[in-house]
Amino acid sequence: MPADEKKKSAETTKPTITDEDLFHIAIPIFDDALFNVIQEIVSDVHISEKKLRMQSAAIQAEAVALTSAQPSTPSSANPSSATKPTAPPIATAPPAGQFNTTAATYDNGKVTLKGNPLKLQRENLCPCCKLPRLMFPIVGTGSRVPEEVNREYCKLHPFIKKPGHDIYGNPFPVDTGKTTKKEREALRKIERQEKDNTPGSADTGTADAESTAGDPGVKKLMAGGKGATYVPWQTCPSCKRSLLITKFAQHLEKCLGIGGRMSRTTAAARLSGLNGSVAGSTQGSRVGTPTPSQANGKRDAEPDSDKEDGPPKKKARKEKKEKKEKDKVTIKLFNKNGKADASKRLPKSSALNDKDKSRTDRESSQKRDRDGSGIDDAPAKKLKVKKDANSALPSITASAQ
Amino acid sequence: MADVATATPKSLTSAPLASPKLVRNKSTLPASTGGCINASFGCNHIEEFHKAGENSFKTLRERYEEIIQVIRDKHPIVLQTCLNTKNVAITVLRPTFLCVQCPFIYSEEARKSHLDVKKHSFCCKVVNSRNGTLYCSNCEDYVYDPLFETIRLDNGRKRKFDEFSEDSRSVPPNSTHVPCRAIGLRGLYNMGNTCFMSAVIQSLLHNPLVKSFFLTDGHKTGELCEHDNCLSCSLDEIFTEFFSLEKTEGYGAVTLLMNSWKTAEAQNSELAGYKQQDAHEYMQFLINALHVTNGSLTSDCHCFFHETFYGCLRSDVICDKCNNKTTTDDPFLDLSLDLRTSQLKKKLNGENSKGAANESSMRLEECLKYYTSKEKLAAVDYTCKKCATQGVSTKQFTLLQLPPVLSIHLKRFSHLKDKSSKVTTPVKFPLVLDMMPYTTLYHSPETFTETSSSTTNGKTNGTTSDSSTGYSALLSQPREHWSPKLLSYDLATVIVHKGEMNSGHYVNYSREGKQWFLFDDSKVVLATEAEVLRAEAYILTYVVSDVGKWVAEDEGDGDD
Ligand SMILES: [Zn+2]
Ligand SMILES: [Zn+2]
Ligand SMILES: [Zn+2]
Ligand SMILES: [Zn+2]
Ligand SMILES: [Zn+2]
Ligand SMILES: [Zn+2]
Ligand SMILES: [Zn+2]
Ligand SMILES: [Zn+2]
Repeated sequence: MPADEKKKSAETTKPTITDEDLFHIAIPIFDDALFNVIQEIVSDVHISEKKLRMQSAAIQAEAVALTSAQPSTPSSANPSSATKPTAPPIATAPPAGQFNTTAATYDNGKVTLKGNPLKLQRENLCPCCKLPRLMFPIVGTGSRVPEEVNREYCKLHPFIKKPGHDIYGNPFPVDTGKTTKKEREALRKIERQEKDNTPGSADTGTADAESTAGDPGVKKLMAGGKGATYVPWQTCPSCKRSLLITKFAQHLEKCLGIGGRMSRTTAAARLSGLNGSVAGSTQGSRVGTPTPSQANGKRDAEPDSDKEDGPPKKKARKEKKEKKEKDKVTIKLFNKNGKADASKRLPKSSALNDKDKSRTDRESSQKRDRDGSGIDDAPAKKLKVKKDANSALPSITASAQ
Repeated sequence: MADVATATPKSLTSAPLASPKLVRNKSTLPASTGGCINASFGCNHIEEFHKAGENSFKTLRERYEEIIQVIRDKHPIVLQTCLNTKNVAITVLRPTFLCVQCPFIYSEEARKSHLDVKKHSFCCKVVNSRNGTLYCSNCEDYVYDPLFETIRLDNGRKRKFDEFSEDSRSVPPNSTHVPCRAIGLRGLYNMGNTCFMSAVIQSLLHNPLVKSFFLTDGHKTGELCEHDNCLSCSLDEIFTEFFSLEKTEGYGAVTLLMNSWKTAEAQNSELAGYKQQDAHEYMQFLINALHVTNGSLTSDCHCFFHETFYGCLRSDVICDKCNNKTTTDDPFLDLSLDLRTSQLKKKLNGENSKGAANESSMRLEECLKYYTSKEKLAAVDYTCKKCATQGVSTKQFTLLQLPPVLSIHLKRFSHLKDKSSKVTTPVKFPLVLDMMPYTTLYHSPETFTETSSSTTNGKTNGTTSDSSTGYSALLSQPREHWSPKLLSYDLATVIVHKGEMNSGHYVNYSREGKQWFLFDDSKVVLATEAEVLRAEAYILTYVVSDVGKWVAEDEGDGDD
């Protein structure tokens, strides 16, 4: 009844809107909406940049305190610090005393700002390695040659946007299956030239004028990834034979003796049976498996590339693998301590006590420059979908522990 | 804002700079999360408040918390209604400002004179009913105090602030230096028709929850793992490689491929073998295998993968004759949505088809609407248990429980008897998806009022601050007032199938922070939002927006 009345009264007093009225209403609405969009974008940039400068001011002040307070750097147990000369020494207690930089004051472990860090702090420092961050990509769109090329910068550069290159500025791998031997050799020649710092060869590969890639200092800063013709060799975990990664699937099929044995229809039926708990999605969702076209198969079977650069690469790979193992060991050691008491099923983050958890969140929200979405904070949390019938709501909750 | 023009480029500021920090565990937590000093206060004026005494600062903090909760909970109309320069209440679309030191909301123009006259230093900005950043009138700039930002980013949920003390700065005593560039942005080599696998692995690598699981040793690898050809161990290997080494070139996921094939073969699945595979099928297979290697084989498994990826789908069948309702609930790993519009129109079955999809393009929301709309079942398909007759019935799917990670599969491969084809209908999908309209709760709230009132009552007693976002409070309100923020999901990954049915190629778009990347086998390039939204999506992954909200609600039970 009340709803009916309301409707009626609305009908009787329904205002008539002329085109002119609409014109006068629509334009300010559009203006305001646009204004808000711009506001939000500007606000996002302001938040992330000011936080970075704030933290950088603190890092710089701390660095001054550390170097002034402890002129004799204690030998560090961390081997990686050898390659990071400007990284502050590892200290157990914050250095005492008061120290000043242009942007901040360090006072016995606490840093306070002297003013607006956007005005006073000129550069951003990486919170991890404490080295200055590059503000612009070194090549490609929007690139600039850094003011001081010979400085050591944090290795995490602004990502590069350059056609034919990845985010680190490395050229896309060339499909060696497609090219002839001659073409590959020509490519390799260009690669070698690009690697040399001889100024004359700088623009043989890329002719774009805006590129800063010719600068020798910039070259030194580059990620130094693999060349376009690089295709790694891989040891088959099954038979220990070495082969090109691009041929691995083909080899593995033979190596494991897969293929040709199974009838598609029975496999389909079995799969849906196995995924029984996945009802609702398996039903009707089974789509046929696209099979490779003739052309694909032929291309991959091209024979000539296997032998020519096998042995040297193989050796390099072996060395690298050893290095990788080493790295991995450090990581695992680092994680070892917690293994004993961690709960069997839950990820460790969920086993944190409240205090730790809240600190984790705070820290991560400070470090992650962009925020707002909340997604970034997610990793520290354990989610659980409620399963009990009583609260049969689409609710997502954390595990109690 | 300050008159400084240079800002770090978007690609850098939005990059997951803190990602390496995920390599941590309980015992070394203070080290790995700490180790970085920050300014204690956002500006000298906040510092002055702190110096002025415990109470004045506490009042400021509590008032800020309150404001953030108001922004979180109140209807936009409340937030956008403010006092103008003549002290008259007006409703505006532009930003408004909530004074921290008195209970009024001001327009942008009125803000300055208010702060000047009343000597109030701080107010909070609201843009589009969001934001809440603190403006300092003395600095004439927005300030981002560590404590206040925590409150803002936690959406005003209660935390214990006493640990915001000096010890939060501590240099890691034994931290392993993780290279700054090791942030998981690497490609995967195509090992011969393995792009389907690369696309799926990338979507797991860039899923914040899965990342957290593996980087916190969620799966016990090596000798601690008792599974043969364990796919969790294989994936763990990739996570370790991607998040601890400073390499930039691609990676060959040989172990994962081998173990996938061995596992698939053991299941007699056709997924094993050198041929182009279906990414959707592989994703289901992989997540199932991850569950098997981390969970139990009992019917009610609570492993990480179950709780992250599996939701619950309700199907109601109502007999048209006697109105008897049969309800079945089934877990789901993803929602498979039909894109053939003619079929969908048929399904709508005389329902108002105005505004229905045209043949040329569809919206994801439409597909979901069709998926959860009522469907007439032919008489042959249904025999009523109650009236024991074979008759026409109505069937409806609704989402009973939604998982934190929601995968949506668009049925692009159609198989009709002898003819297989690719459905190329463009589907427009949003960056933020509101799932509320497809839930059982939304379609039949009456089913919840009885059962839930008993369980949720206890909850509301303890925590007053968060109850307004809980479902108990929600149910007491008319459905029109339900906020779209309640069940919003953010797009995280898009798996794209390019080309023809039998000779296609899979690529993956994934987001880190606010930056999108395109992963095309071993190539990684920057991508724009527009590019992502134009893509011919095959599998979409959405992650629940405010993860913290759900956590806080549950924590509220145990807390004070
Ligand atoms: Zn760094
Ligand atoms: Zn082999
Ligand atoms: Zn005021
Ligand atoms: Zn201030
Ligand atoms: Zn394992
Ligand atoms: Zn499970
Ligand atoms: Zn009946
Ligand atoms: Zn492909």
